[in-house]
Amino acid sequence: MEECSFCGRRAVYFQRTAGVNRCDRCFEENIEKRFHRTVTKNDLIEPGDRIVAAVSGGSDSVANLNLIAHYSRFKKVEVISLTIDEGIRGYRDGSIPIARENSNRLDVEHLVISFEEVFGSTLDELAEISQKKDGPTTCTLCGILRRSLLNQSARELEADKLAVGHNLDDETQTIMLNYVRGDMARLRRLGPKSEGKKGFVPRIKPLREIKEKEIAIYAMLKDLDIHAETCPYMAGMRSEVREFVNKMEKNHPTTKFKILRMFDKMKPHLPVKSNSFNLKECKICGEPSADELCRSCELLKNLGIERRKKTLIS
Amino acid sequence: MSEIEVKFRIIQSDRSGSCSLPSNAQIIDLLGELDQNPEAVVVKRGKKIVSEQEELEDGDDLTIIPVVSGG
Repeated sequence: MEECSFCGRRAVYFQRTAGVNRCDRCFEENIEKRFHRTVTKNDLIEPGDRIVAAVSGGSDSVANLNLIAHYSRFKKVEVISLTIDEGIRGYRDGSIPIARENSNRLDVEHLVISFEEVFGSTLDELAEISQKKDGPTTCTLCGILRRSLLNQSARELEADKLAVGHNLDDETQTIMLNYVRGDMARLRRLGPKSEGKKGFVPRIKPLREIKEKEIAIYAMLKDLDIHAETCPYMAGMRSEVREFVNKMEKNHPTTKFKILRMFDKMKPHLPVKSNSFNLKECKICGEPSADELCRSCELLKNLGIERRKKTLIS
Repeated sequence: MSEIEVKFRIIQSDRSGSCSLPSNAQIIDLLGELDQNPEAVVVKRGKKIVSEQEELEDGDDLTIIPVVSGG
């Protein structure tokens, strides 16, 4: 039996980055400590905050909600969980009850906003239209529309922060993807907490220094109810980058942390995009936008879709 | 060197079977044989999660769970 390097109990995880084995208790303690460290180091959650946590029902978002809810109990922080139902047949329908049950168990209010009620079409339908019109890929569509609904809902709920479950793997993949695409503007926007510019609720990432695998193990050890399916639309360059980074990490442990640390050191030196233009309100939905229409409404217009709902939270 | 035989099943795929490995082989060696990156999977022996450094035993029945999260 492989023993925990700290207490001698049966090990469940070999932490390659530190070269130590951890038992269930020492592992859970370590994850919670790293969550707290990221939160306090970056001032992600402050007393009196109202936090909207995006919860899909997957291991990252459910673990994030659990950690935030427990942390908040002693900090006078209000937590609301929010699920965006994109309308992906055979996938999202299974995860919504899981998100709801996890929220109920934590005594956290849970809201669901669906593409269908806001846009009049599910993602499955939008994907089909986009394909016929040679429009954006399903992942691009989903990303733009989902981010916009999350921000708008959080803003209408008067949230101070919008918490997302992005983990170390997501962060390193996004850094590498932006290098590969040569997208400096997007690269600069990454980090533990986004700027709270007018109309944008700051997005926080308390799990950004914890690996995807570690979060999955944490969820299993905590016996959390999670949705373990993979999105049927998952494809493209991110999968290639994921495989590459995982291969590097296997052969050279600490690769993921080094990519993240290097980016964090480099970020203050990246050129700041001019703020000379004033953010306006999108003519259709009211979301902050550099142009008359925000990216979501522009995209819907190009697909011939008329937005059904302007206000999300009644 | 004597060999051991272990059974495996990879969740979310149709892949399952058995594998022969040297008697002192660890979980990480099995993952290597199956071309599975330890960064992307969790391994369970029965209901218990096992460290990739855990030594395998003859007759082990292991479940390999991919940890890809899909948003």
